[in-house]
Amino acid sequence: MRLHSTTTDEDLLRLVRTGDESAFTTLYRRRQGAIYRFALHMSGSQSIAEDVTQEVFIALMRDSERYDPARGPLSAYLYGIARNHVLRHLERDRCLVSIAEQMEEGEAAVPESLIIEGDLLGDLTRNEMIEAVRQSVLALPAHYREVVVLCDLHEMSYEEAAAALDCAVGTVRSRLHRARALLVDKLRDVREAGPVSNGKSLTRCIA
Amino acid sequence: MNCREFESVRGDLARESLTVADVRESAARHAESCKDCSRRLADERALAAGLGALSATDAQLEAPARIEATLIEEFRKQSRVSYEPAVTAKRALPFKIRWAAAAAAVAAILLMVFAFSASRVEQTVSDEIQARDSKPETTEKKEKEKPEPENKREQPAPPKKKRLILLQAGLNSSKPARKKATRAVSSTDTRSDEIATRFLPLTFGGNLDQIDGGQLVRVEMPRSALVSFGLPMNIERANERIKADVLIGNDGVAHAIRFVR
Repeated sequence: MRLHSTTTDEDLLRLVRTGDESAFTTLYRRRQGAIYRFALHMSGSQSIAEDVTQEVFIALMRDSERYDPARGPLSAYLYGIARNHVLRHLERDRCLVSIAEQMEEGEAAVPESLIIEGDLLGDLTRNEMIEAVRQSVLALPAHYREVVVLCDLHEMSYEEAAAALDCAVGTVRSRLHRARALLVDKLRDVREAGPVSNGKSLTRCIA
Repeated sequence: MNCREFESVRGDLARESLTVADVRESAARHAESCKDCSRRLADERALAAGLGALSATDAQLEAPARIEATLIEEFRKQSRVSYEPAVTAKRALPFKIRWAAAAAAVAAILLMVFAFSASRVEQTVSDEIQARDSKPETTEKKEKEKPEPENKREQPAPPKKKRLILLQAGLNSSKPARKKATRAVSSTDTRSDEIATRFLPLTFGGNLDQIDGGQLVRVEMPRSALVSFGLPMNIERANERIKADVLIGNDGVAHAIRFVR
């Protein structure tokens, strides 16, 4: 295990393919946190995040041959698997529709005249602010949410995010720009509506 | 810098990731002079701070330990499955040999069954075989045996080579052998020093004339198998082995057999 601490992901994967359990454990411990947090930020559900983390590494041990180093680093490959599983879980729970999606479809943007001057999150305590941001991110449409999670929460570069999402860098850049604008609007709504309590979600069930 | 240009760099300015000094200063000057852009920059900074705080708060979150335990268990199962084929492959070899032996045995049994069904046996071939079987013993037992009838004794035995032609000419035909002798000799791969019977059909009612082609397979079998084809056999040599050519058609079926000496 100690020998694997400086080994690259790709080399660890090669060892995993030969049945090296310690290599698999090292790789898992190195990457599980990011995958778990990605799934958690994308779904807002601990149980989904746990399921997704498990599914990602099972997919890795069973189907590692599908990883092509030419297409990006192993971490991006793992994020890609995680993303697919998260979207599958969310698809299963289609009754939950984010307010943002509804807003995008039917409602116009908030008029400039209604925008309140002042700090966007200035009136909120730190915990309230964090919770407000979390719920606002969760309320974004999935294709905006994933770029925010990867670039802003996981501090990935545009290139890394593009590799994980299997799309162009320009797509990541434009989606991120739009996603941030949506988040500003949402947080402004939160500020107007008052503090967000823990567990309160901007998503709602319409089923 | 105008508002449109400011819009394109606002995100990077809010996150202090705008690396070009000139652009950064220009954007800062624009923000001071434009109220809307200034407010948007403040919102962007607040958002960046909020996202940073969320990221820092969740930075230590990890999957529960039971997930790791489950995955390692799964990995061990997976490894066992992966390595099992290599182990079974080593063990599978004897099975293959056994299957091959079983298949060969079945083929031999089928051959014998086909042999029983061969009802038409040329008497002349029987005589030839009988004559050949008894020939080595004639010199030793000549005096002990009863004298043969006059007509048989007086018949001169044809030369060996001539007999070969006569026997081989019996392939695919029951007509007089002499007409096809030349063709038969050239079309068969019997060695010149071998003597062979004509081909005896193995399939019931099989017409050897209709066989398009195939190949001859040289086999060895107990001399007692001659009896199965209605051919005479010296009982004292029953334990010896006899060579035979099996005619395997293109359909993979054994159509005929001939005995070779």
